[in-house]
Amino acid sequence: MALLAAFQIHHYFAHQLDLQKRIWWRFWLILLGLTLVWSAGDLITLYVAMEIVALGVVGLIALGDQAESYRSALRYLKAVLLGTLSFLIGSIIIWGVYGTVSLSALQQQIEGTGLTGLAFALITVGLVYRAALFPLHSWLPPAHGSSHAPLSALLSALVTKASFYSLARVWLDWGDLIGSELLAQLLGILGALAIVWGGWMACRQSELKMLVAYSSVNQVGYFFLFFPLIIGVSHEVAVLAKQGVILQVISHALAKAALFMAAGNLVAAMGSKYIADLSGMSRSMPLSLLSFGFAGVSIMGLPPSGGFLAKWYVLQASLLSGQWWWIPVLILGGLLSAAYIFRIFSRSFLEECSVKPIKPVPKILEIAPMVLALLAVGLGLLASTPLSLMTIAMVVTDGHE
Amino acid sequence: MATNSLLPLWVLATSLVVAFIIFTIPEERFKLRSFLNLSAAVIKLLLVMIMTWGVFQGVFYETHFEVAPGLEFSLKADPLSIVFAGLSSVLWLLTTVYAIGYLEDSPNRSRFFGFFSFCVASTLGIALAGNLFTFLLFYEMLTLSAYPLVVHRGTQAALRAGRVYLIYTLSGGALLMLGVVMMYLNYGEMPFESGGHFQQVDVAEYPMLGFIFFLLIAGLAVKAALVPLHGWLPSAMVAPAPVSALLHAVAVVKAGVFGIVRVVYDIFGIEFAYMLGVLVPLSILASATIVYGSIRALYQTDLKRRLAFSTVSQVSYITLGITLFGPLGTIGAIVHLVHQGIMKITLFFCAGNYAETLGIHRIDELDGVAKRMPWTSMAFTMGALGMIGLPPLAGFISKWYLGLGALESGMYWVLFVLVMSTLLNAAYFLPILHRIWFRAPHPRWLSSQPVKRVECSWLLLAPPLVTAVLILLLGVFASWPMSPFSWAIFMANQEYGL
Repeated sequence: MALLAAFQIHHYFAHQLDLQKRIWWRFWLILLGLTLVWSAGDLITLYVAMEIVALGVVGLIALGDQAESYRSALRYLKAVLLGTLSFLIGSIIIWGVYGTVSLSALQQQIEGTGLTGLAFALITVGLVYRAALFPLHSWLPPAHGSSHAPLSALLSALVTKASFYSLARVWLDWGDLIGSELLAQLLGILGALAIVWGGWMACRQSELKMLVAYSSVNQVGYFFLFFPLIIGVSHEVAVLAKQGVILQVISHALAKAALFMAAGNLVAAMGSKYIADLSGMSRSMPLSLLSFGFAGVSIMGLPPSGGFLAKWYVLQASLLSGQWWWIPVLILGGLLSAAYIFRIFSRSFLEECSVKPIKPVPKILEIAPMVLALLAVGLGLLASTPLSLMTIAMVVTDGHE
Repeated sequence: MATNSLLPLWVLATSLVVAFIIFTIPEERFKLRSFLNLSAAVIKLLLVMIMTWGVFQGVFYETHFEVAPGLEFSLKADPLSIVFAGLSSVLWLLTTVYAIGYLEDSPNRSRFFGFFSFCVASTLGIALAGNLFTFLLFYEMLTLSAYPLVVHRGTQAALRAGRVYLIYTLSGGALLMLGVVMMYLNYGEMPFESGGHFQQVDVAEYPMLGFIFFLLIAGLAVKAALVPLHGWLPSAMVAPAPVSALLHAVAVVKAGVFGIVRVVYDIFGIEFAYMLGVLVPLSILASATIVYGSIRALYQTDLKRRLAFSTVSQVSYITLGITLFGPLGTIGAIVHLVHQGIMKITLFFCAGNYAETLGIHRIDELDGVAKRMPWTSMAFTMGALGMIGLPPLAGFISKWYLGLGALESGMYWVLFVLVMSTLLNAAYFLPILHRIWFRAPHPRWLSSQPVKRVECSWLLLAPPLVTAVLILLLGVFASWPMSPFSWAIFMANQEYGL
C-alpha cells in the first residue's frame, strides 16, 4: 500500500507550481488524510482519515472567495457528512456484531447475516455518495467547477479516488463473503448510467470547467463497472478487471488533473469561463490546448494512453465473464467523451471571430498540465512497470491479511 | 540472418520528434521550420531506403517490448510494410515541399506542420506495425492527428466536415477495437504472419471468427470508404489541398485498405478467409463501391469532389483485388495500393494548383486552362489517363492484373465490373481533359499572364511533375527488381506458398 501511496504522491510536485501560500496547510491536511486512507487498517481509521480529507477539501473549495464557492463548499460538506454518517452507522453495526473494526480481523469472521448485510449496504452507500456515483453525484460538478483550477485538479484527481479506494478495499475483503452479486450488478448499472449521464451532461455545459467536472462524473462511472466484474466471477476475469481499474484510476487522475489545469490556463487567458469564447484560442494558447488534447486522448480511451489500456482490460473482462451488456456502455461512453472533448477543439479552431485581447499566462503554468498529460499518454505504452508494482502491492497485502 | 532492432524506431522518430519541435517554433520562423520539415522527410526517406535494401538482402528488422501483461508493442519490416512505408515516405517528402509552397503566408503553420508530422509518424507506424495491437494504436493516432488538418481552415464548413469525419472514424475505431479485443481474448497475441493463424482451426469456431472478421472489416471499411461508410470522405474535401492529397493517397484512406490487407492476408490468411466464406461478400461490397463511386463522380461539378468520389471508387480496387482468391489478384491489389496513391496525389496537387493560382474550383471553369498552365495540365492528364488505365501507364498494370486475377479465381462477373468502371472513369475524366486542352481559354487568364517564367511557384509545380513522371516510369519499368510490382509478386508468392 505504501507503493500505492508513493505512486499517487509521485505527481504532486506538479501542483505546487500554482499553489498559493494560504492553501498550503489545507493541502497538507488532505495529503495526510489521503496517506491515512491508503494505509488504514480498520474502519475507524478510515473514517477519521476521510474526515480529515473532507475538512481540507471544504477549505479548498471555499477559497474561491465568491458566494458561489461558499455555496458549493456547503453543498459538498452536506454530501460528505451524509456519506460519512452512513459509513459510521455501518461501522458501528459491524462493531456491535463482531466487536472489532479491523479490516483484516473482520475478513476472517464476517458472515452473511441480515444485520451485516445492512451494515455493508450502509458503508457502501456512504462511500458511493462520496465518490460521486450517479445518482448521488450532484454535489461534484459545482464543487469542482467553482474552485481554483489547480485545486479542482487535486480534488478530482485524488479525493474521489480516496472514497473509491476505500470502497474497493472493503469490497475486495468482504465482497465474496457477504456481498451479493445483485448489489455488484447494481453498482455496475449505476456506473453505466453515470457514464452515459455524465457524458451527456458534459456535452451540454456552456462553461469550460463545468464540462471538465461533468467529465469526472462520466469517468467515475467506469470505476464502478469494476464491481460486477470482480464479484462472483472467475479468478482470470477478476485479474483483468483489477488491472483495468488500476490503470483507469491512475490515468484518470493524471488526465483529469491535466484537463483542469489546462482549462484553468485557458480560462485565465481568455478572461471568460464560457466555451463559446474559446474561438481562436488555438493561436494564442497552443500549448495548453495541446495538453488538453493529450489528456483528452486518455479520457476518450483512445490509444496510446492509460485510458485505452484500461478500456481494453475492462472489455476483455466483460467478454470473458459473459457480461456483454457492458460493451455497448463502454463504446457509447467513449463516443460521448470524444464528443465533449472535441467540442472544445472545434470551438478553439474556429477562425471566424474578432480577435480578443489575451491575458498572457506564465509559461510555467503550462508545463505542469503538459507533463501530466504526457504521463497519461505514456502510461499506454509503458504500463508494464506500474502494473507489476501494483500486482506486487496486491500480493503483499493479500499475503498479509 | 542479421537482425536490426533500432531502425524501425528511428523511422518513426524522425517525424515524431520533429512534430514536437515544430509545435514550439514561433509562427514567423518560416525558414527554420521548412528546413526541419524537409530534412526530416529526406532523412526518413533515406532510412526507409536503407531498410528496403536490408529486407531485400534478408535482414530482419524488429523492435518490440511489452506494454502490459499479454500485450506487445511490435514494429517489424516485412515486404508489405516496405511497400507502404516506401510509398508514404516518398509522398511525404513531395507533399511537404508542396505544403510549404501552398501555405506560404497563411496562419497557423506551426500547428499545421506539427500535426502533419504526427500524421506521417502514425502512417509509418501503421506500415511497420508487427501485430494487431500496434496497428490499432497507430490507426487511432492517425484518426486524431488528421482531425486538426481537416479543420485547418477553421471555417464553419471545415468544422462541420471535421465533425462528420470524427463521427465516422471514431465509431469505426470502436468497432475495430472491439474486434481486436475479442481476437486477443480468444486467440492470444496476433502478430502479422503471412498465411495467418488459423490453418488448423475447428469448424465450431467458424461463427465466432466470422463475427470477429465482420467487426474488424467494418471498423476498417470506414476509413477505406467502402459504401455505405464513405460519407465522410467527400465532405472532408474542405481541407487544404496538400491535406486532401495526403489523405487520399497515403494517410487515412490507405490506412483503412492497408488494414484490410493485413487482416485478410496476415491474420486470417487468404486460404482460411476463403474457407470461412467471407471473401465473396467483401468482393460484392467492393464492386458495389467501385461502380457507385464512379457514378457519383460523374455528377459532381466541383473538381475536388469529383476526385473524392473517384477515390472512393479507385481505392476499392484494392479491396476487390484482395478478395480475388489467387496470386494474380493479390499482385493487382498490392500494386494498385502504390499506383493509385501516386496517381491520385498527382491529381490533387494539380487541382490545388488550379485553385491556388487561378481560383478554379468548378470543372466548368477549367476551359482552356492548358494555355495558361501547360505543365500542371500535363501532369493532370498523366494522372487522369493513368486512372483510366491506359497502357503503358501505372494504372494499366494494376487493372491488367486485377482482370487476370478475376479470370484465375473464376469470378467472371468481376471482369464486367472492371470494364464498366473503366468506361465510367473515362466518362468522368475525358470531358475534363477535353475542357483543359481543347476549349477556348477564359479571357481572364490571358490577361493574367504569369509574371515569372513558370506558371506558378516551383514548390507547387515540382511535386506533381515528379509524380507524373513516376506514373510513366512505374508503368514502363514495372519489372525492375525494386519496383512495387516486383515486391507485390514477391509477397504473393509468400502468401500462397509458391
